[in-house]
Amino acid sequence: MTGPVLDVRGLRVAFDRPVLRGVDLRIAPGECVAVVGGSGAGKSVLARALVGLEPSGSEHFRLLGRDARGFGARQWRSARGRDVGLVLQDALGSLDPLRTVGAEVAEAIAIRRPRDGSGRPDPRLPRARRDARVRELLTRVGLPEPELRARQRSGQLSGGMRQRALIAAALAAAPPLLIADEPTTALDATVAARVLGLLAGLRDAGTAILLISHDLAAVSRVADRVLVLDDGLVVESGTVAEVVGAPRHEVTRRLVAAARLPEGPGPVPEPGEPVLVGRGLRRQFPLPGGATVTAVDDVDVELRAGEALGLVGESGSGKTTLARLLLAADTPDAGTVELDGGPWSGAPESRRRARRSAIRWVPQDPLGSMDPRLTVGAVLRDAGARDVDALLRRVHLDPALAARRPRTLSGGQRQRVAIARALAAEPRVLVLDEPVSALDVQVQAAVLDLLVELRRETGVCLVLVSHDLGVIRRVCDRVLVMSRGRVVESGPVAEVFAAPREPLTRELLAARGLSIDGAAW
Amino acid sequence: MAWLRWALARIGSALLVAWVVATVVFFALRAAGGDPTEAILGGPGSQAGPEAVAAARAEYGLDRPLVVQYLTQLWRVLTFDLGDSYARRVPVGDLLAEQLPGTFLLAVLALVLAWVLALAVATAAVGARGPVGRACAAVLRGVEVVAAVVPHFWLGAVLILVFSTTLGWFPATSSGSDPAGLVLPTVTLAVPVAGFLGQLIRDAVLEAETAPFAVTARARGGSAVGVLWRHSLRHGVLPAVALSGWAFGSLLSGAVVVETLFGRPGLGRLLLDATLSRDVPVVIGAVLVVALAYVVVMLVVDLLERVLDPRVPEVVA
Repeated sequence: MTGPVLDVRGLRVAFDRPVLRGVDLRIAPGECVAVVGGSGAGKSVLARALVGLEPSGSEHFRLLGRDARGFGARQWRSARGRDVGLVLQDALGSLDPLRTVGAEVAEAIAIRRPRDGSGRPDPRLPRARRDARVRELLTRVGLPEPELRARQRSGQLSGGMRQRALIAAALAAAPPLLIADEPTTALDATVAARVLGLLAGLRDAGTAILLISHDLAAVSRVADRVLVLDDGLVVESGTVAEVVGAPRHEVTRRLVAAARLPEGPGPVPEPGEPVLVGRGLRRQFPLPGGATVTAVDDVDVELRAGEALGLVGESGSGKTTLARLLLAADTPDAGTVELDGGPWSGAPESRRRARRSAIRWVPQDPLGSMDPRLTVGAVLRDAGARDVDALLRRVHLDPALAARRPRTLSGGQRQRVAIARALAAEPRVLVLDEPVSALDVQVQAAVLDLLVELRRETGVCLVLVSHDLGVIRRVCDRVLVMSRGRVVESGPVAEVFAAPREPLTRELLAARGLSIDGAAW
Repeated sequence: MAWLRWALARIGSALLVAWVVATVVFFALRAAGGDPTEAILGGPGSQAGPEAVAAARAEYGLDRPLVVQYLTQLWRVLTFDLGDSYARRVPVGDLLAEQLPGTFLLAVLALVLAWVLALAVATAAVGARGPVGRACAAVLRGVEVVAAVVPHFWLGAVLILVFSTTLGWFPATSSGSDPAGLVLPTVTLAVPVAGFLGQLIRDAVLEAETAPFAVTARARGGSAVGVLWRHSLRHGVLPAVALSGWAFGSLLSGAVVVETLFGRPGLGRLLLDATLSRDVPVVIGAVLVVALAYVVVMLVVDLLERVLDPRVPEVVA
């Protein structure tokens, strides 16, 4: 094809208020364009509008040279899958959990013949040929053991595998344009890098790719051009080098700043006596069929007063299990945890309860951990807060939010409430599980600033679990790098960053940097 | 291994249910007052003499302590000997075998009809397009609520009045398996359950329709019907399947009312008569059969849920 795959001018979408206010977008074959922006900028609406899943208006809308402005429901349906594939934001929920991965991909094959074929799709493609095509697609997206994966359901696959399977389904009819909405958000850094590599390979093979993301660092690795979207408008656009190297707009500058590896926490008090000490910790879980998996394998941890310790690793490396052992939310199969010099993991719960206020948990999903019927004020009072207003101000929230319910808050606000709730009992240690992984980069930066400030001003110790070394670097003094339940590298954050010894650490670091000359770490 | 353990647990829980049911029924009947000897001697108002009463009590062991009577009854149940009816002087097993098929046929037909109605209403509500379609869907939603709360005896009476007395399409009374006579009792039983199941299915299907996997299927080019059929409906029927076992139980108890209303012989009628005349062996036998049927239906529901939702429980993280 000669002309652009997609050429849109003045795209508008409005619900009760305007969401997209005139977006221009052009993608040539074999080009990868990234749309970046904060939450609420209208990115996902843009993705859906481009495949006709949202009603939109525009001055010009050409898809593969055809005018899409007059498309009815039927024409859009025949364009979806064949002319343009969409990979949705939620990789975890976008595969039907009741059906096998093979059935999902086969469905995409049955609905659409590849563009080179003519006539109507054939749902009764012989089973053997369809299975072979499923296998071929799964192999193409780099899914290991495609025959086994085709028989499994999404619950049995890791996040990265699900994302690959979804891309395979979207590629079934070989669409010239693939739209991927936040394809790496739910993935840890190394897996995300591999998925981006897959998309780059597709682009090199001639597929036009529209990447939608809040993370400039991620898309900068594969995109040719970047569009910065803010409040429904494209505020800046250009090549990756132009946008990252010389950001002109305020929003772009914030995105670029958030994408760089952040500064450390700055001057912090000297560490004092040990507060939380784990020795020889081991935890195993039974697998169906009698085997066991060792989630934490002979790990020593020491947290001193005033210190912040980072636990980093890929998903499944045992970070969260270790954090739960430190909290005494789970009991180790071997080893002990001591809190303030007294027994902790070994003590009966009746003894522990009185001391539980010394160590508090900030969960990964703050919304799920709050009773939806309670107001924020009631949630905090439940946790032992005496002065709700002061506590909300402490985490930089408006005290007026005390009357709201958790569901009506933004992701960043919820995370701040979760931190306030953990602080209510004035604990000595906060354990935070991926506190910012669900937030967009700008909100992430603000929450991490808050954690640094809390350290400095209240002297609370932190144990921070994250798959993102950037997050660890912003907040922590020391870091443990975990892999398959073991600590493979540990030491002061500055040292580990300056001279990583393990390949895994180097990979985690590489996955985090902006990928243009000079802008990378 | 897992299957064996599962089967043993199932049988164990069925036995437990049977024991609890037999015990509760036995003591409840006694606590309700009245004297089983009345049933033995021809029902209330038979004016039997004191000697006849004493003889009957001795013959049936009713003069012994209650605990002994209870244990005797329990032993009989364990040995599959349901005893003879006090009132009718025939083995309880024969009575049940005679009345059971009609009632089960009615309950099964009603459950099938309820599912058909519920699926039709739920998919119509989901597929509704445009202002007229949405208005119709809203009306159907109202009809569902009314259907779910309407009492059997009222619905049955109205149906008889309209379709039997006025239009004369179906007979008001029915006996045995005359197909025309089964229509009105089946509809009467099915409508409340259909309203209930319909609400469950509609809510769950609507939720599944907005789930990411359904949007993804549409983004692949799937049609509305295709997405409903291949994705959302399967998610949508799961809660309704889970509650169908319970619905079957309520259909059996509803059968008592409906069989009385339409003058049909059946388990419901048998149970009602036996309870009124304190015919203990018949009541225990009937209730046990119903309870066991319930256990079997729950088993089928469990298996069906496994087929529809084959997800392997995820390994603890």
